[in-house]
Formats: sequence, C-alpha cells, structure tokens
Amino acid sequence: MRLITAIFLGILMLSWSGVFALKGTSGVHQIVFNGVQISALEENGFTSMTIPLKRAGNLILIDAVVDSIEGNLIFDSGSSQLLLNAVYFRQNKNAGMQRSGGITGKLGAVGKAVVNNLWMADLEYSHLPADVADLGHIEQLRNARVLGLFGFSLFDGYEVVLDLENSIMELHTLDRNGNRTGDSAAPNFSMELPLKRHSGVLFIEARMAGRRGLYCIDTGAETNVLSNDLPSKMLSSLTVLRRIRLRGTGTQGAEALLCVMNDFDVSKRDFSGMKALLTNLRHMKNAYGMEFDGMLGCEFLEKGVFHFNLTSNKLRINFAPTT
Amino acid sequence: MKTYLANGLLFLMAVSFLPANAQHSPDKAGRIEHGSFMLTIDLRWDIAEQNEFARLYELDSMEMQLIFSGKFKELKDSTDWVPRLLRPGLIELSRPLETEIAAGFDSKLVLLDDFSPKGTFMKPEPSVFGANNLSREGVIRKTGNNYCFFLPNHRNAIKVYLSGTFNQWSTRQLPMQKVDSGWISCLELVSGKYLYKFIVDGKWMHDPNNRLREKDGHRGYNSVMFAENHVFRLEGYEQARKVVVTGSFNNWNEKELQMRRTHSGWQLPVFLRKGTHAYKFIVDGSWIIDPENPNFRPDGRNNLNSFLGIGDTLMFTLKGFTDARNVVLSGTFNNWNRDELLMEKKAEGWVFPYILGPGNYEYKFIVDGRWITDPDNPVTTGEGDFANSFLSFMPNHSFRLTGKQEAKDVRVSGSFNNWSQQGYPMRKVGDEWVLDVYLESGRYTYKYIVDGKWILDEGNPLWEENEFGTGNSVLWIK
Repeated sequence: MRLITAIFLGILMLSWSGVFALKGTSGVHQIVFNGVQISALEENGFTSMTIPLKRAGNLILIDAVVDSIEGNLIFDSGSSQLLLNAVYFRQNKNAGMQRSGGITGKLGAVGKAVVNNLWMADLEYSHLPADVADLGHIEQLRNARVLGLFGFSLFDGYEVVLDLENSIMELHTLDRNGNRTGDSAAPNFSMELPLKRHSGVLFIEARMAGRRGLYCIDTGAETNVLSNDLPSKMLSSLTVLRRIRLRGTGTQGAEALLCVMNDFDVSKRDFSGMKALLTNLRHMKNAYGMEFDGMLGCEFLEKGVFHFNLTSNKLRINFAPTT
Repeated sequence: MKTYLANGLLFLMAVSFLPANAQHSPDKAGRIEHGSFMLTIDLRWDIAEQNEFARLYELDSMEMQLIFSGKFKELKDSTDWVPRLLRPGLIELSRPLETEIAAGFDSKLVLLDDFSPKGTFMKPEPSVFGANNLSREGVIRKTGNNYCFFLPNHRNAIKVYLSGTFNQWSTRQLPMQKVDSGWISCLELVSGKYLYKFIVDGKWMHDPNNRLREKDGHRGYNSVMFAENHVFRLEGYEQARKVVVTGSFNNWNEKELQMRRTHSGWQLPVFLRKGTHAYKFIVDGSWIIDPENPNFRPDGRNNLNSFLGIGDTLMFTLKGFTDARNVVLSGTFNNWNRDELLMEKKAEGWVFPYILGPGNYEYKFIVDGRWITDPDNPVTTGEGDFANSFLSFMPNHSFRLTGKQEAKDVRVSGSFNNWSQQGYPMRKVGDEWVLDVYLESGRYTYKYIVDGKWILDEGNPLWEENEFGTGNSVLWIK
C-alpha cells in the first residue's frame, strides 16, 4: 500500500480540462511522494472540484484516461490501491498473449504494473503503482468500459464529498488541520464519526444486535456485506430473504445469504431495514490485515451526503430528511 | 430396502398429520439459529410454492426431489443438509453456516448477478419509432443531420457539458458554448433514439424543456430525444378534429401518434427504425390509406395498408423452383408473416426487393407451403427443422483471421450468437478468412473455430479469461 500524501496544483494539459467545475486559487505547488506525482489540470490550481459520477448498476464510475486508453474507473473505496483491468493492461505485466498460470478465475490481482499517466477528473497522476486483474465480467455485467478500480488512496489529503442522490463527488483541498482552504462553506452535518484508516481503506464503528464493531466503507459494494463468523446472537437478529450468488473481481461467484439487518445503528442512529449479504470475509480480513464485522455499501451511502475528511480522519454525514 | 422403508414411514408420518392450515410460506422458510442456516419446509406446498422455494434458496432438482418424495435419509447421506421432523407435515433442514458459505469471498467489488440494470450505462429501451415532445420550441434544432441542443439561462455557470448515449455518456467530450441567453452544443446524429442530460458545473440535470424523459434508475431522469428521419403528411382534411398515424411500428396503436395541424393539412415528424413499415391514418375515427402514397398492398386479412421503406433495398432471390405456384418470403424483418411478402416469378427463379435497415436477420422461403432455407446462403442459425438462413445487411464490423491458409473450415462464434457451437462460417478472401456482421454498440466476446479447434483472435490484443482457462477475445462496438 502506498499512501499518496502529496498534491500538485499546477498547469497541465488544458486540453483535457473537462466538465469538472473548479474554484481556483493562485500559486503552483509541486510535491512528489513515493515517486507519485499528482497535478491539477487548471490554470490556477483549485480549492474545490465537482465531479459528475456515472452509475452502472450501483457502481460508481468516473471518466479517466490511463496511459492513453480512454474509459472509466470504478470508485471502489474497498480497494487499497489502483487495480487495472488486464483486458487493456495485460502487457504491462509482461504477460503478452500468454495466460498467467496463477489465474484461478477467482483471485483478484494477478500482476503488477506502473501507470505512467492517469488522468481522472482534473487530476493527473504519474508513476502510479497498480495491480492488474481480469475485470472483463464487470464490463459484461454492467455494459461499461472499465479500465480499473481505485480507492480513497488517490484522494489522500482531500475532503471527499459523496452525494450519490445527485451522482456527484466534490473534492476540497484542506490545510494541515483538515480545514477547507477555499471559500466554500463548511458542510452541514447530522453526525460526525472518527474514521479508522487501515491499508488505505476507511472503517467506522457501528453496532449490530448490541455489539460494537468496525465496518468498512465500501463504495464498490452494491449492497452491504456481513461476515458469517459473527457471534450467534448477531446472526440470529437477521432475517434471511434468500440464498444468492455474488461476484467479485474474479470470474467466479461465491454463495451468500441475502438478509435484512433488523438491529443496526451508527452512533445511535437506527439503520435497521437495510439489506446485507452474509458471507465468508476471511480472505478480505487477511488482505486488510485486520478484523472487521462487515462492509457498508451503496445502500448505506445513499442515505445522505458523506464528507470524508482524509486529513483529520473524520466522517461527517448530512442525512437526507427522509432518513 | 430398509432405507426405503424408513423413508416411506417418515414421509407417511409427515404428510398424514398435516395441520389444516399450514403457517409456513416459501419466502419465510429461511433463518439463522445457533450459527446454522435453517429452512422450514411445509410438505403440502403445491408445485408453484415448491418452485418458489427452490428459486429463493437455490436448492437443486435432486435436493427438491429427495425432500418432497420423503427420502430424507438419502438427503442426509448425499448432501450436508440435516433433516428433522418438526411435526407432521413440517420438515426442518439445517446446515452449519460455515459450510453453507464455504466458498468464501475474496474480492473487493461486490456485484449481484441479478441486480436490475440501472444507471448511466443502462441501455435505452430499443425503439422502433418516436416523436419529440418539447415544451419550448427551439431547444433542439435540426439542420440536416446536425442537432443543436440549447439550455436556456444558467448564465453564472462556469462550464456546461452535454452528455448522453450519443457519446457513451462521456462527461468531457461535448462542452457547450455560452451564448447570450444560455448554452448551446451541436453535433451530428444519425436517426435514432437518444438519452441525454446536461452537466452544469459538474452537476447532472435533465432537460427542463423536454417532456420526454425516462427514469435513470437513481431517483433522476434522462431526457429522451429522437433524431427524426421521416415526416408523415396528410394534405387536406382541414375540417377534421383529430388525425392519428398508426402502423406496424407501434402495433397499430390508435392514440399514440397524434398529427399536428399545418396550414394545408396535417403532419408529424418522426423517427422510424430503418426497414419497411405498414401504416394508415385515422381521421376522426375513420381508417384510410395514405392518398399520396402509391405503395399499398393487402395484409392477407382483407385490409389494405400503405407501406413506406426507410433504408436500402435488398433483393431476395431464390434460384430455381420455377414449377412452384407461389413463393413467400418470411423472416424476422416482418415477424415471420407467412402471407405478406409474395415473391415475383422470373425466368431463373423468384425475387423480392425489400427495404431493410442495418442489422442481422433470419429468414426462410415458403415454397408452395413448404418452409426452406436459402440454398445459396451457407450461413444458418439453429439446426434441422429449426435452421433459418442468416444474413447481415449493411454490416459494420468485419471479423478477419489471417495466417490460416491451410485451414479447410473457419468459423466465428461469440456472445453475438450465444456462442453457437457451429458458429458462423467465414469465407476465404485472399489469405484471410472474413465474415462481415452487423453488431449493435456494446461489448462482445468471441473466438474463431479453425477446423474444429477454438482459438483466440491473435490479431486482437484485448482478451479476458473464461471459465475454461482458454480466454475469449474482447471487442467493443461504439
């Protein structure tokens, strides 16, 4: 995992300056961290940026160009780092037309690559390390050209505002204390929570059937997910709707039970009634190197406007009036 | 034998003491208790309820057969379900949760196979016809094939973009120009149906001046516009109160397409999918053919219909069969109507000119009542009596395979033909094997079949893994 903690604000590639509405400040800053450069593609830098999101099913996509290939990147906050689609970037892992013997059709990453240039929104990234895996089935299921997945690590240092009801994301630059550097108003919020960061992934504390636990914020999960090794009392609080097949970044699915969460709250705010898949999360816990109870996906994230402050590590949520 | 007896006794006990009103339904059968996944099954469920139960909990046919024929011991021996008789007529199955979900989940992205398609990439409903319905004139202006989209106001916006199915919903390809009274963007469009939105300073909005819209799957709307390719006109009838045009394109709907009054009659600009369409006007309830259109013919049910063709003409030809009394052309292009398209007899055989749009079509000839495939067309779909001749009219993609000069038979098969085992035969052109096809925009996977051996397209760097570990080539059509 490479955390990107530097932001360039500079003048680059005006021709790709797109729809993303920017509010600027003067001055150009250049910082390189871990060999990764980040640049803003606007004359005067920016302090805030509004990015239109595209939706494919419940997935969140953003227009991007990766090493001259145009397509979409999926915003998957469960991803520690950039994961590229082998359909387009196979040669980057020196596989050519040879199939990798390591592919099981189930595992995620099958190779490594370094991206020379990645443009997304009005940001340009250089020398970006990435995993490579076959994501063809996602393209097939969602009818979208998917270049890869990325998580919060590409937005480190920003405040990321996710407003799924209006299909937009905002980025705000922050000072060292996590305050917005621009003139946009501080957000209204109904709830403030500490964010726990681990392996580039964000976790919040929540409570199910009386037990407190950590839950991963996962924009790449079309529905919430719970671990099937939770205590019996927690599992018994679920209503089983059906068995279901689910798909991950591999080509094969896994079995799961689709349930209703009957007793779930975040900071004492009741979120009962959300659906969740109950499945074995052991591989993911191993990948993240920590224990957690589940993942909160799009059904949770559609409950309001989420402000992820990646400097102060706080989550502020402004819930929709009906929630 | 003992197993049989035990099963039979348990089943008899189970069904003979059924309560009058069972309280369990398939959708409430599942629960989790003490770390186990449990299913409660009422053995009196009828077939529909049993099917619903199997669908919800993905029990296979063998498990269902063992459960509802009372073979519980075999069920226990051959699966990891543990059956238990709760009371007469009521069975409980349980298995440890860890076993239930042993497959494990090792991936970051959670997709559901049966998630209803929605969102930006949702394909618009295929449309055979359509007419625009704007609440403000001039917000979509047409000059030839050039369409200008106008968004009034928003003068304080910094950037406005046009995004839609015409540019794969790109958020950056079509910037709008600021003018005095709003924002404008023009682009060339071929006739068809399009979904679109504006993006004002990064925020999506549907066109407020367009009454046609469809839900976008996420609480918002996509605006709908049609790039028109035909104008229905009816001169005269100034005294009529209402004139409607109806036809095969809208299943002869009598209300949908109301024509607009002009200074000398009635008209309606429309989009019609390329091909041949039957139509009529309904003037204050009276059905009439188009008096200005000499092209009309009977529909086989004692009616006359006007016909119009949009697209190019394909000459269907059946050589020989000169002794036949009549030959009819039938295919997917006319919903397999067996009476409509009577072919014309010539010295060498039978012909029928037909206007078609770009696409892939299946067809057959009906020679004196006998259905036959086209003897001069080697490409067929299906087998035996279910084989149809296949043609691709105005194809937009060529499959080309080089370096297989020694091969005797080369075919292509993929997602476009449901991975047909026989594939579509390719023809040898010089040192290449070629097949031209029409493919709608979207993503396709395919392989070549060279003398029976399935291979990747070596000339295409895009490929993905498949379930057999042999890979499939990947193709995007814009």
